[in-house]
Amino acid sequence: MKEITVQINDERITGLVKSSTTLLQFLRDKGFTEVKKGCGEGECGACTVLLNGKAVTSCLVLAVQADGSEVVTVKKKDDQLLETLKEAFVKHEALQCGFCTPGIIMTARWLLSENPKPNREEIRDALSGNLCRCTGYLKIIDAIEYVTRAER
Amino acid sequence: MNDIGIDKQKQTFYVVGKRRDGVDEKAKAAGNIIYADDFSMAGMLHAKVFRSTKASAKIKSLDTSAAKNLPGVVSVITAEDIPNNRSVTSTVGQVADIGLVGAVQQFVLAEDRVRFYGEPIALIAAEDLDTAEEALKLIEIEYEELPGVFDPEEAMKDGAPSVHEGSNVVAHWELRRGDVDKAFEEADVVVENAYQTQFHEHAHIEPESGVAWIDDESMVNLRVATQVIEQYREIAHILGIPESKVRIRGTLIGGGFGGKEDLTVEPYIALLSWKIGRPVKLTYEREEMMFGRHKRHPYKMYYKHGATKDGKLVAMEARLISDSGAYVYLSSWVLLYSTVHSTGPYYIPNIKVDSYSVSTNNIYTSAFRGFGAMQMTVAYESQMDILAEKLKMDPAELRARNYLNRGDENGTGQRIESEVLLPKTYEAALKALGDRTEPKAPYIKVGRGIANSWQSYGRMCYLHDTSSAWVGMEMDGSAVVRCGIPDLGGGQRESLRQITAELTGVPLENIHVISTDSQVTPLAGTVTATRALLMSGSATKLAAEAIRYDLLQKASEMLEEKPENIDLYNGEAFVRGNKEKKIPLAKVVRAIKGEGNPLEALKTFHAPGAEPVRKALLKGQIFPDFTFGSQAVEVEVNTLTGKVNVTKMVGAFDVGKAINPKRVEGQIEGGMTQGLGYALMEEFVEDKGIPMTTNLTTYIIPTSKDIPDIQSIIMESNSGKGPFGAKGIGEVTIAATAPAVLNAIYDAVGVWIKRIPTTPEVVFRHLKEFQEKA
Amino acid sequence: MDFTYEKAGSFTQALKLKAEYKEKGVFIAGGTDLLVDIRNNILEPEAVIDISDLDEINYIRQEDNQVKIGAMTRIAQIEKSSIVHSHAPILYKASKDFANPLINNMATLGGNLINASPAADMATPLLVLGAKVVLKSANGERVIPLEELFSGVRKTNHRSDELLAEISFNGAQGKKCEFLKLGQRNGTSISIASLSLLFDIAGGVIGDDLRLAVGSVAPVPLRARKTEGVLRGVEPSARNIKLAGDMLKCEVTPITDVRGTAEYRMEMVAALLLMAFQNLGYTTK
Repeated sequence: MKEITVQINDERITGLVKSSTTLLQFLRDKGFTEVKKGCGEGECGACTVLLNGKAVTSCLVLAVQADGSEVVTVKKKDDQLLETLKEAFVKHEALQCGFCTPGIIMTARWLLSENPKPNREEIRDALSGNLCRCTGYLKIIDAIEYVTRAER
Repeated sequence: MNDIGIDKQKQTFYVVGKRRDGVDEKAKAAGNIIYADDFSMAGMLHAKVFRSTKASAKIKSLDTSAAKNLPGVVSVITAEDIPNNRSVTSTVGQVADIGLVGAVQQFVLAEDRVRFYGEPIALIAAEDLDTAEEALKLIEIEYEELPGVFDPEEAMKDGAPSVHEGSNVVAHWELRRGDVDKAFEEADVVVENAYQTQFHEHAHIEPESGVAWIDDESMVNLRVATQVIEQYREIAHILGIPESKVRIRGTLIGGGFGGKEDLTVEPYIALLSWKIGRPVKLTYEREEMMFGRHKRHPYKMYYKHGATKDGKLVAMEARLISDSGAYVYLSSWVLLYSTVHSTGPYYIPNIKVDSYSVSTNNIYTSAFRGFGAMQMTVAYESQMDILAEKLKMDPAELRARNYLNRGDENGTGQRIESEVLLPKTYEAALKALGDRTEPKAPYIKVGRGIANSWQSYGRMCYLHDTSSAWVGMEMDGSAVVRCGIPDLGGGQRESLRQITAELTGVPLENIHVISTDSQVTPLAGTVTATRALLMSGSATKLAAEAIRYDLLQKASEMLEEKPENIDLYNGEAFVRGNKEKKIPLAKVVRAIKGEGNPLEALKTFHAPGAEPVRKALLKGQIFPDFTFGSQAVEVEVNTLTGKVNVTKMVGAFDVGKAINPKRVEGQIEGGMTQGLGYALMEEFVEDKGIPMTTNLTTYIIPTSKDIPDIQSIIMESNSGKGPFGAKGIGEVTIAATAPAVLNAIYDAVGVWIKRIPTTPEVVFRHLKEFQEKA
Repeated sequence: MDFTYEKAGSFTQALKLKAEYKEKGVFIAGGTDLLVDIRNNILEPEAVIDISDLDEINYIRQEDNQVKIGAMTRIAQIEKSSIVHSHAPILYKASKDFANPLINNMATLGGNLINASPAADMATPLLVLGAKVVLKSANGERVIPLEELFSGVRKTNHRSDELLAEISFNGAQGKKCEFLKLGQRNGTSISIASLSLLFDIAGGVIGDDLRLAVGSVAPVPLRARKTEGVLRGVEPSARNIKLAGDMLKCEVTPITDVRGTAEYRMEMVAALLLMAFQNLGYTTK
């Protein structure tokens, strides 16, 4: 077992993990259940978080690799762009069951940090690692596009 | 209540029909919802299911001692530890045990035989997941393989291995009308083809999951992602305890689509927790969801249509064969839906349909959005386009000459009681495709296809479906709705909120919906069969109307105005046309409660009933009503590789009344996307019962790059049986994408493909064959 | 199943750790293949040696006309690199279609190559670029053509005490290039077949340096040398491309799996070849 310390949103979290514990498991065990497990093999994107600013599937990162890192989930406070995204998702009905939503919002957050004015194709491409079974993606793209226009 | 004519009285809609933001959506976007696996309790154990790795075998020996002895393992359960090792799926949520279902056995855990790869054999509960997984490896099992059968048509033949006992045919239905033989003889044109559909996986992003615990009153509690909380009855039966001793709380579901309709984790966590006395959690891994959980029935469909040279359908004959897999579950009902819907939304004077559901040693098959009606569209909508081509008629015109209209009888003799807007939806879908896209490369051919679908909403009438809801006003003018209906993401709870807000005038955000608790909320039935709005929406409407009546009566006194001139909105009662004459709702409520009226209402909505279906020949009113719609697609076919790419998609549906248009659009867009996956890329594959597609890498579903911007066209005939004239929308949207794609492929490259999915290889082979013939 | 985690603070330390654990220790780079293999019980290592953070092998450089990419460079970095855009557009195309942004953010070029899947998307573009790889050990380094790295399905020729450190190739500015990947869907797919094509053309005649590589149709990503021979020095006419396609079908040895049959894959290499030429504007009449 190894002790790790990770900055998760607004808290420094310390915990004991096995070498094989994934970042996803660590996050969920520490109560950050907004990060979802959908497949455990990087195919669905439900576990997407920002790791040192990059959107990654946390099920394919070992918790020990995240020692000393910063992780951001959808519950991060004081991030205006994140709040704007959440509002846009609600307004545009960019979610139904909501299970993929925390992951998708983090991918969107990352996209906008890399490219503040993506066009629809760029948004569509950026989302391609996040599976949604309910919405058909259209309203998700609409919501993100709306945010890029609003930020103008 | 009818003194003041509630329906006439409501002239303006303030909330219903509007694109209001949902309260649940806000919580979901914030990441606040505690889904089934997000919930933990002190002292909770983790469970795993030990599953068969053979498709057809006797269990010669099973030794769980090594697993039991692993430190950290608390319990290992096999079939002999279960009081009633039978899971019953005959009449979920209902009391009466009728219909042609339920006769075939289903086990909670396998006894001496396994009949499909993945069949549950034993349960493990351990202090942590890793230990439970280790323990799985320590269970020792010896199989003696038995002959298996993996094709339903093979399984129907004499001498085929019996999956259970005797014949493998587990269900059979019929449609009969007129004299098809004579009609075919007299027909000018006859079109006969066979169609094949595949095993289809729900692939909801949230795995099946739940926690069970025994509380301080020795009640068995479950908190589980389920579409049917009435299954507390099944759990009680399995444990051999009274039904009143089991309580199921349903969570907000992370996608269901019928995948969380049958029992999933419930019996396992209930058994373990009940035996051990500690909370137990079980969440499936994606791989076991793939190979261990039911799929949509594959169908082989033999269709024959006859028509006059003017394009009037005169006869239809069909033979439908579905793969029921290793256990029956809802196969008989799915087959019934298929049979009723097999004609398509067309009037056909002479009909002969025979359908069969057949056991095999493949994965068992059961409910999935569309529920048997969906597969039929592949056949009948292909037939219509093929017929149109043979008749040298416009496919739109051919269909227009044959649509069922309001008042016509469908294949069972049920009169269609609502509007059929098909000519309009078909035209709207076609028009919305716009100009044909120019092919972007010499090897690309562009094609367009349109297809209709129809789907029942509400459960089969002979089940005498009911749904109850309670609405109560708080002293401060806020309100609570209690309703058992589960919510799988289609906004079931939000609809109740909107309906209540509309009728009581309470602001949307001040209405709390408490739902999905089998002992606390009035039972509202399943979230299946596109029934939630019809049933729980109607029940809530009845309760809210009763409240509205009392509010209007009291407001009338207080405002000194006739009740029919008063409306309720945004926390106020006000006189129409006179902004000054108004009073806060809270004041009205206090006045009412002060007189001893608690201002709450519990109402039950009854769906139309019918006689039990006891014979194979289906006749009369089977369903409350139907929803109709059309889908159009434009595709690019890569003639070198066979890959099909969809460039345009349109869905046009008559929803009766859209309670919230953006949610209706969501159903259209989501349903069509799932339908597109079914058409192009999704297939659960087994080779002699051994699964080949075992995760989301090998079973692929549409990503954002696979779906164009979908256009949703909502039409409202106001003729549905649901609240405010609504029809149900949840299932009909998935069905017509596949035939629209098949028709579009024909338009692009001149080849009729009669099976799905149309993977690149399938299309390539068809193209090659076509070119070689030419 | 747990394992020991060792973080390599330097290249040297990485080699030391590998020497300690030998075949019982595996390197983790992006983790996008390794952790899936561990989940599926394909690998059960005793130790996992983390080299993902080795900045000393994370770079994209241009020296004269040579492009050098450190093995730990992420696919996303390759996609965004202006050097790659200008000097190796074919590699840019492959990185863009690699998987999806989440995977691309983590997956490394070195990991993709060392994993040695016949479907490795970055392999065929690098093969046609004539890439070389630098294999470093505690005792020194050697440079071999990328082609010599692959020895079989998921098998490489590097010694157990060697680490793939760098991939380099000459810039291919101005050359015609195309990378095509046939998947079961537009989104993240393991390719059914893939193809990389790189050539010069002058006076309507293909140059002598045309290179062609195909993926998912042989035990390794394959330089199709015989087919190259058919195409070099000829016009890119429909007839010549057909002849080349026929030759290509003979050079490949695809298998049948859940993604496609061997027969289909064989047809597809020829189809992709024609598609590549047509995308570049040839034989489109």
